[in-house]
Amino acid sequence: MKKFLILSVIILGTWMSVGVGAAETVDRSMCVFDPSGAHGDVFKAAQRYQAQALTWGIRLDLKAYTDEVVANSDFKAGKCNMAFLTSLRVRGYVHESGSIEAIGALPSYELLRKTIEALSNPKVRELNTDGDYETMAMFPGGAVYLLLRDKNLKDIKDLAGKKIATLTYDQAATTMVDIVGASMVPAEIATFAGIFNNGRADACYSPAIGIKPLELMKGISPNGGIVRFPIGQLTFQIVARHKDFSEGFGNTSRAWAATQFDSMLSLTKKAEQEIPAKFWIEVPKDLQKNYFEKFREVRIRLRDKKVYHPTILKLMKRVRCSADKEAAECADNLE
Amino acid sequence: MNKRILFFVTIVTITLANCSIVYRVTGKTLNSYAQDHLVPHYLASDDLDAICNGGTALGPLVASFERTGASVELATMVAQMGAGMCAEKQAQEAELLYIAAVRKGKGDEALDNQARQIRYHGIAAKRYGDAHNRFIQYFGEWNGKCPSISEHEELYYLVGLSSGLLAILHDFASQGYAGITREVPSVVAGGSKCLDAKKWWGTPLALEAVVWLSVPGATPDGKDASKQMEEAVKLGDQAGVRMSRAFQIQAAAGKGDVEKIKKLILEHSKVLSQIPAKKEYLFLEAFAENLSRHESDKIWMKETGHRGPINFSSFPGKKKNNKEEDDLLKDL
Repeated sequence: MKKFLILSVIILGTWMSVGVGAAETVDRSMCVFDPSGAHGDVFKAAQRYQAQALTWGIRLDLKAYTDEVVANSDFKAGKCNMAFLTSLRVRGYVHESGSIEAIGALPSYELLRKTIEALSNPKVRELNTDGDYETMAMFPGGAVYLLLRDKNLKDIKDLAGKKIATLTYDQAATTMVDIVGASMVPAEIATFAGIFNNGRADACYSPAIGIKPLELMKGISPNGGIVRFPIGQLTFQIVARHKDFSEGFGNTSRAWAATQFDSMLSLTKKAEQEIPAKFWIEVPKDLQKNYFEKFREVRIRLRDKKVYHPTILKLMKRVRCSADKEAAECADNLE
Repeated sequence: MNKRILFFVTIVTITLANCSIVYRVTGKTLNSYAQDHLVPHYLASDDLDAICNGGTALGPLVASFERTGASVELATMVAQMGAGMCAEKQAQEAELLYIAAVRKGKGDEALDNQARQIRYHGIAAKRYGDAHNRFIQYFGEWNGKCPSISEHEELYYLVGLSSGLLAILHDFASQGYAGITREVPSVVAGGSKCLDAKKWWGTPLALEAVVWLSVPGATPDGKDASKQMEEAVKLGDQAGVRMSRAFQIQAAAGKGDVEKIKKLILEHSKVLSQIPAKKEYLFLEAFAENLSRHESDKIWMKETGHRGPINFSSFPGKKKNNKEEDDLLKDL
């Protein structure tokens, strides 16, 4: 009798889960890169996406990766239907959306928000698709700033001949180093902080959120600072094979993701506020122009090398010019 | 034998007399300890749960010293205020579940949660009402003139007025279950003039304005409640103690103007990231935040079936500037 009861319960349970599952949801999986693994903020954001996706009929199985290379290769190998990666990696799948991080293209969070909102418009679905792949969501990851050991280097021209800790796979950064005439100290995410703090490099770059955990204050103190001029906007994006999802899924997903902008940015903003005011190096207007010009040179060079997608650069220029119609670049047609 | 009885009676009498002295001294010590250390410690904490639970647990103990003849009005007032917040949070929770049930079309669930909400509003009204009574006991009945208030007592005066306002608002929400006397609004409006609005982060102005906005016909000629509220909010923002915002949102919620509520909540969220909170009064900040978060969650629950972001920084289905976006995307 007891066995019969257990069997009935199992059968009933299976029937119920199959019945409900089959009628309402589809099972999919997502590889999630978060440097802190399943305890990190990106993974938490993935969980919010997971809950939201249930309301769209998708039950996502999440897998955390602390190494983006592995997450990326697992996605490429088809081990998951979608992946939560940095835009730098997503560029390898969807050239357009991956170009949003283009160096110096979006100097403020407001401009980044406008760009993400524009790209979530259903009218421009094709700007989010490339071959078999589609970018399903874009989230801000924080502005990347230049950190200096000596605050007197605040004009970009002063960086000529200086050593900059540079991620070797970051083509934009290597091009930048080349253009300003600096020399590169090859680094990885795991090593750049040590290189900078030990004085083997005069400068490095990082989002504010990395400054405390990586103890970059050690490198900045006592004579350095952080240049308050975003080099680029780090973004996290969800990329997927679109055949695995229904037709309107991407539009729904991107529209929802755009509404998460502020909550995704709250930790970054907190980290930026926690940096003592004395460490921020304000760049005077005329010197800002120098930064901007150098960044533009890099963007155009990388566009010509087919690293950045021209349409996205054009969109970002329009966003900038919508905020500041008087800017000199709005009169020319270079981007 | 008689001698023994006499000795026993003498010992008991002396002990009892001593006990009563000890209790009274303890009560006085407790009261001054609460005023000097416990309340400042509470106010500097942003842990609403700990304070509400502390108020519920310690309130009866503190109040019991009244029986020994010790004056414990101020300490009891603060404890009851904390206890009121516990009930208020429960009422908020029930309200969200009620909204969710309405959305799902579950009538029984909706009615049950609505009933729970009303009960908790009733309990909150009673506790806040008790806090307000202690305030009256300490400072005296309101007779249209400000009592003499020492600098040290000003904060308690503000807490007493606030608890009166909260008592009446929760009593309205509980269909009058707590039976808070309807004189309270005029006491709050009148008493708020006894404090320097600038020194107390605009809160006295906000208290008065909420009364004007909540009680029909209460606004004196030539006064503009909304304008006064704006002024209060400005002072609160500058000081980093945004109680005025909490009252402003309460007033807007009372009017049911959803677009206005959304606007005020977003403003509150924004100012939190711009101007840091005053460390000595984190509790009041947390209280104000909790109210905004709840109003935000109500809107989210109604529109989406779940709560909104913890920092109440956005709302579902925000209308975008379509014309501008079309221009940006043209011919791409």
